[in-house]
Amino acid sequence: MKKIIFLLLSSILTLFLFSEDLKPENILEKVDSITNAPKDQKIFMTITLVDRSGEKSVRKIIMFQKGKDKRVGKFIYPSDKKGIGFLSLPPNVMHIYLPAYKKIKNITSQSKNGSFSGTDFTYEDMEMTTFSKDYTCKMLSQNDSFYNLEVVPKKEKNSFYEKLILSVDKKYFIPTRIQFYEKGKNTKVLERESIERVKDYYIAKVMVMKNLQTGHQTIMTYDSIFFDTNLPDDIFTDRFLKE
Amino acid sequence: MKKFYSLITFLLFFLNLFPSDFYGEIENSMRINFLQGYSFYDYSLLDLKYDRWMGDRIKFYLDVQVQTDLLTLLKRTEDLSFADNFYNSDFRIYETSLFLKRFPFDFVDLTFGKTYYNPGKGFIVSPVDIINPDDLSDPLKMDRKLTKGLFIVEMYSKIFNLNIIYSPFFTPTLLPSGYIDYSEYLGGVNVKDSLIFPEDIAKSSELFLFMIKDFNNLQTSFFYGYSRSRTPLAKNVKIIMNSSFSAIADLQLWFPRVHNFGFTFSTVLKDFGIWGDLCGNFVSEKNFKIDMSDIGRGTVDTFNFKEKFFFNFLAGIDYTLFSNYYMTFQYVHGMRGVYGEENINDYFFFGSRINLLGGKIVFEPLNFAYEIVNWKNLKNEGGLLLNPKITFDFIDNFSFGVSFYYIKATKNSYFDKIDKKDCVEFTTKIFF
Repeated sequence: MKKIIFLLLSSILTLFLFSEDLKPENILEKVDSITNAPKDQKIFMTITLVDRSGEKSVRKIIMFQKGKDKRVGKFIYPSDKKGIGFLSLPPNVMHIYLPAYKKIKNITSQSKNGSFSGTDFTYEDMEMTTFSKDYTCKMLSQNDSFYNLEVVPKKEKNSFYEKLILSVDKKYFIPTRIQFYEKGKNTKVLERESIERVKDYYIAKVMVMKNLQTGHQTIMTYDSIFFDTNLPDDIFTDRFLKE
Repeated sequence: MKKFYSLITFLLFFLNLFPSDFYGEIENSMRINFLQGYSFYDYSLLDLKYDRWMGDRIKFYLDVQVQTDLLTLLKRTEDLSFADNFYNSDFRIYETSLFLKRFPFDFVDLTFGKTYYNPGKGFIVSPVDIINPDDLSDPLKMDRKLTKGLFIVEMYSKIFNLNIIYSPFFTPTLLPSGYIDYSEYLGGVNVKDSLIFPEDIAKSSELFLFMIKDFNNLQTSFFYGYSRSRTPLAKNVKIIMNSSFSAIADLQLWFPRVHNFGFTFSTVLKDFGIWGDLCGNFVSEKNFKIDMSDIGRGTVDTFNFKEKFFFNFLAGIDYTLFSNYYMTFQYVHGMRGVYGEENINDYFFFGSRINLLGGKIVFEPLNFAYEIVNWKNLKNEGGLLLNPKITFDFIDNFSFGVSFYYIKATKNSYFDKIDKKDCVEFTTKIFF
């Protein structure tokens, strides 16, 4: 009987200890630690634009990421966009390179809300994000599978969005659904699908951004991805953009 | 025209052999001039590009262009005898260059070949874009540049970057016919002109140094250039009696040495993009001689402009409203190829762009420029250029645009040189 009582008590204690709800801030920290876990990434990506009538157009880019806040990308297809590049660096620096003029241009925070090459992603969406640093948050609800968090960008983030609602998968700590709000309206939804383990990391290989106002959507698919290849720092420079 | 199509067919066949290496576009532009009676102009351009990395460090780039222009100079029945007379075809290697990455040292990149280097921050025009000459053969396309033989050394360090650009061959601006007309200044006599070009490689060489420093969102550069004037300036003129009642002016023009220096910057201030270019110019020789001894009046020493030293500069700002309405404004003091403070005019450029239907329609309703020749007489000395435009991009790799040009300018203005080009332009582009 003693044994049974001991087992019961220890089970209750274990449940109590491990089922303690994480604070929203801790969830964001975990999301960041999962999302930004790789030291660096080299990604070949296909972007498919789908309009309301189902018409598709395709773009291909190569993108490099390092740490939490450095990202550089270049278009390799179609030909009229070949060589166009973007560079995102902390704090709030974004450059684009226009090969037709051989010139590098600054992107203002206001322009960051402009469409990234006709996609439903904005330049801001293409920036690296550290949720725990750039946003304040509160828990809206949770169920067996997801935490639903409301995150509001801090002033220094210079975000165009009023708030985001994240549905964070409890198993992977990846926000599999993000609702974007502008002026009180939910304007876009990002869904992350096909979560796979590559090397030691979990990634969503498909991202679908739906524009709720126009019915347009953009599908980003990772064709191939390489982690921790020790990318040199000088990839994240204007020098690399111009090459 | 047949030749053009045959060439395109051949090139497309050639492209099919190496489909992944070539890319480019075919562009057709039709213009209908409508204000001074109806006239028609048409050109087609095949722009074929090829770039290839050879290993990790060497990149070869080639840009070949074939352009055909519809000739409107068919005056005689003989002209109708040959199809080749209808279109003028021009084949050119626009750009061919070799890029050597991290050579000979890790902090150096080299580029050499027929290419271009545009360091200015300005939109459409910049007084700092002095390395490559302008292509004014189509005055409606104000941002066109000629490529030329350049040797570019880009050195990178943590403190600043240094770019050295050496050009061994002097190349002047490409001008439309009638752009330079001295007859008015020479009392209406017939002018026979000739150009004096730099004689050897030392005299035709040009050198430019750029020191570049970035501070987060602030990009700056300081530069010095040892160049030559891009448009010809009068060196001397001899008035010769042609007959008892008429004289001709034997005019010699040249391209004197110019020292350029200045700086550029671009930055982001809150939600505004801001940029500026400044170029100080010191022209080595501004004098020219009028020899009228043949008509018994002796020789007069005069000048193309008063001061040897003058500034060109610009300042610009842009802003994006409601996420898809882009606006830009730029003030420019001094147009390209104009020398001497007293000859320089002021310009205001306005640009706007609205992306509709996710960028499938790009509408540019408020593109216009205003030229001021005399601030005290704004109404009667200046020019206006309106250029609204709409582009449809519904199908991948295909775009169709309609633009409208309206130019109204008074004498002494730069826009006067492109006046009477009012037209509607239809542009079709296919990318491959």
